[in-house]
Amino acid sequence: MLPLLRNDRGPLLLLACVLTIFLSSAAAAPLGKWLGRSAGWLLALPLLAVAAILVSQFSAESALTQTVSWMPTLGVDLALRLDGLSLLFALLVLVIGAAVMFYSAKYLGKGKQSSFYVLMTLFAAAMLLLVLADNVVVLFVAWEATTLCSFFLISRSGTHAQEPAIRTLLVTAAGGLSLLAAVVTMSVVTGTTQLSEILVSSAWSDNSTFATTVAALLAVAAFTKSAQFPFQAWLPDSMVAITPVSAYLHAAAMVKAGIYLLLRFSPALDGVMLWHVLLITSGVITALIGAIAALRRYDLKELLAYSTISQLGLLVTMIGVGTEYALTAAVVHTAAHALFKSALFLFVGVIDHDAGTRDIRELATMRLNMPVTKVAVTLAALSMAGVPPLLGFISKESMFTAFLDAPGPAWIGVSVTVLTAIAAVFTFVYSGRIVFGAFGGDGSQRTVPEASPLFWGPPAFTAAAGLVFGLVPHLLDPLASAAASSAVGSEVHTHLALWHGINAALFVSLAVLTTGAVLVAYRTRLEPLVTRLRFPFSALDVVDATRAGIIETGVRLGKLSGTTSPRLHLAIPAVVVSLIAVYGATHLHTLPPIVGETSRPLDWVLVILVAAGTIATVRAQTRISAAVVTGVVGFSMTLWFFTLGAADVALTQLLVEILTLCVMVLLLRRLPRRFSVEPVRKRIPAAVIAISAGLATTFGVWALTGRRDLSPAAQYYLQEGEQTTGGANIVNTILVDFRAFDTLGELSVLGIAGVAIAALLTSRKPVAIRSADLDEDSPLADSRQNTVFVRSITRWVGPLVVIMSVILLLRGHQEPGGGFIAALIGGAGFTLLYLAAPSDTAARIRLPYLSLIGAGVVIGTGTGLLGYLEGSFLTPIHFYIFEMHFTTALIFDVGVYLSVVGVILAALNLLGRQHRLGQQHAWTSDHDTTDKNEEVSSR
Amino acid sequence: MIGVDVAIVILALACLVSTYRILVGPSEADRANAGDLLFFGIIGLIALFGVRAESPFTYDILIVATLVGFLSAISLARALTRGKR
Repeated sequence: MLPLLRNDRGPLLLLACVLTIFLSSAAAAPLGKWLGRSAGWLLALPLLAVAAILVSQFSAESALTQTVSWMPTLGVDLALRLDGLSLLFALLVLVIGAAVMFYSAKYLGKGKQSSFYVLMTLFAAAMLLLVLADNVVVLFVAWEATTLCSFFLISRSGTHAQEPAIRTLLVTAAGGLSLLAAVVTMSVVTGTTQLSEILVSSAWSDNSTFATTVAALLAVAAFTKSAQFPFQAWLPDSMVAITPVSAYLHAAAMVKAGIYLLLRFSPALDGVMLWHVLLITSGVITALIGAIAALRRYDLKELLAYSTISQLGLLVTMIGVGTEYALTAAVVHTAAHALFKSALFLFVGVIDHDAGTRDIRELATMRLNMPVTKVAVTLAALSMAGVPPLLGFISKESMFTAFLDAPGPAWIGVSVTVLTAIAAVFTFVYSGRIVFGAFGGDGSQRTVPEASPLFWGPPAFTAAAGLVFGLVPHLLDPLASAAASSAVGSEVHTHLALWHGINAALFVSLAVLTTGAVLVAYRTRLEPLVTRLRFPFSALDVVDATRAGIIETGVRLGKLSGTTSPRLHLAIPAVVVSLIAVYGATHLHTLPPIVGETSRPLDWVLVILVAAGTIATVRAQTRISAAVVTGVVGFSMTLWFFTLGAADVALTQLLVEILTLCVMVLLLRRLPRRFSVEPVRKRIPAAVIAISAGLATTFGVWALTGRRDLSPAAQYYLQEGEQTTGGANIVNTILVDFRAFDTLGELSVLGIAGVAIAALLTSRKPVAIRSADLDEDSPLADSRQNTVFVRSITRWVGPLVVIMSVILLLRGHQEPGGGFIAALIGGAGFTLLYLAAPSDTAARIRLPYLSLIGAGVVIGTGTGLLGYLEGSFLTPIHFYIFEMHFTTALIFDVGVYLSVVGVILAALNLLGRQHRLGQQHAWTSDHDTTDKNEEVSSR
Repeated sequence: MIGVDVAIVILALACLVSTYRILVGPSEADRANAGDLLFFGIIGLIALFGVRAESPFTYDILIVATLVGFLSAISLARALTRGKR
């Protein structure tokens, strides 16, 4: 059971209403599947039922508020509130929605229609939540939900609808983000997310920066949703959607979400200068460009889209004027527009459905024998044009009255009135174009019969409603008063009437009607003039250019680092290191003094050697010389480690250096002799970066080492290491006893490297070996005789290497040696075997290297697990055999040994294979699936 | 110990000369030869530094270095013939 926070009346009726629509959306899927298009009949019922409930629950005196806890930690509740404004928009959503559902049952094709009905009911639910929301976060959620539904409904129409759908989504989502920014700003400044509390907050008047910011953000959000200048481009574009979608979303409901937002925040933002300026200018511009564009269209649906833009522009202007009268006019016009626009859209759908076209030029060749359609379309068009006695006349005359009484300097009211009057004239003309365009055909090609009453019924109903409310306007009084009260923020009592007496607004209306009628009469002569009018650019181009510009910027930014060459990716860290050093240089005064002597005179010998080797490496032009001079550096490093007293490390360094050189040679014979030469303009920046990074690291090492005594850990190892482990070699005891976990990781790394070599070289053929120019007649060419020397040596050195390897393995705990060094010597022995072999085939060392790696890792981990017998993972266990002291550290070292030897064997076997250029070899894809060891030994 | 120091300096100069030979070539074989020479120069330096530092592990390193050090020379020879034996 949801915790109920507040509930004025009834058992959570508002929530139940929203839920009903949501549930009907869930039911729409099976209904659309079983009943096909007829599901619309059933799905209209919950909409009507909810509308009835809302009307019965509404009370003009106090708003109905219901709250359910949703995200209490964020202070966000699912709060719903029903006041006049909400009721007006909810009725609009529900009644027009029901009409569209009825209509769709006849409009859609036969077959499954699940996705259409699911999305349409989901949209209705989101829209209902939007207008009932009393929490700004809930409002935003519903807002985005309508955006998404609209996107899916447009993109449903096929591949040609994808681009319009994406544009619609981008524009309205950008506005949605603006709304989010407004929501966040408001909740931070006012300290609550409840809409009704935010609206009455004192922050609006106290903090003018806040009010202006929020006004701008909300205006952008509403302009995108309601297709106002400069965001109007998406609406005509989205007419690729089917007619019920266009009628519901892009005429009656979704585009009104922006209007609702503006009306809802009107009381709070009244008096904020930017708000009025933005709304009035944008509204007037939109009203004019929409009306002019509508004059030039031949597609009835496109014409209606521009008409919608224009009418919404008028609405925004009214809200921008912001007087009590203007807001009332806006409320009435919202209702009037929803009625006549949905009727027009749906009837265009009827005509399109029956005549097969909605282009005025093609309709001119047909005769539409559709009396009801004709009457209803004429009624709706007259209402749009503002002809008495229809609702459109009342709303438009209220509008002119409001504009003439606009606050501020007199010229504002006059110019707004004049400009909107021009827009109204254009509205009259394009309304005429709709009627005469649809029904003015000569019937030369065919006659179109009337549609079924079930089809024209729903739109005829909304068209007739415009007439009824026009004749008996006081029926709307309670609703309009209540809605206007919410929009104004104080009690409003309005009395709608056709006749207001003789006043300025009436003259404006009369002028509009006469000019409009004259222009309609001469429309055939005026049309060519209007079609020549063109904007220098279409708004679609702007949206597309913006998108292309963003993509272009992204591509350019991506190109900056989007290279596979390692050059840039190495340069970035090098530059960053230099910058860190520059920062570090400002903190030199905090450095402790250097402890003791950190350099000796003879160290300079080493420095010179390493420097010579490094300079030679950088300057080397052939690959072999590079390999040799890298060896110089490596051997000098061996010497360096040795002079620093690190015998184990020096041994390891020496062996790794030799084996690296051997492996490098295996690769060198597959590569060109010389390096490719880089141009100077690339070498100079590289040199600058390299020198600065080198200086930075030198500085870092000088500043951060040799400035303290022995670390406590080192003191512990020196004093108690031997006693604890029974081993005198501190380095080795650290590796296998104290910090064996690192060693286990390292041996796994080596093992994985071996597996990776095997995987890489069995899945991809390495580059073939390049042949050297050799004199085949020379006695030196015979490889069997040639290798006698090495083979003879191997006979003696081989056993020595094995003995040395075993000795180093066993004594590692006490003296320099241990698993790694012993294995490297063993590996060197295998390398010797490989080098001594008379041919590549004989050179193969037939040991299962992958199994060796596996065994090494298993033994290492297994020894670690043995440690649980006496404590924890990797604890060494001591035991005695014939009074000799052993520890499991030795077994661990054996694991290290096997793993390392396996890697060396993998490298020798896989890289040492013979693949000469142009030579046929049986390297086909099926080798990838065979066992790697078998594959190697079979060849 | 002054004799050891002098020997170290002389041997280091010999190493530098080998490095120069590696740099200028002219043939790859010159480079490989000089590399071999330099390696043995460094083994000599290890011995001399070991004497100077009185390190007990000098011989361990020397044995290992001489036992497997010639591998690099053979490898380089193999590289010169592009892997041909």
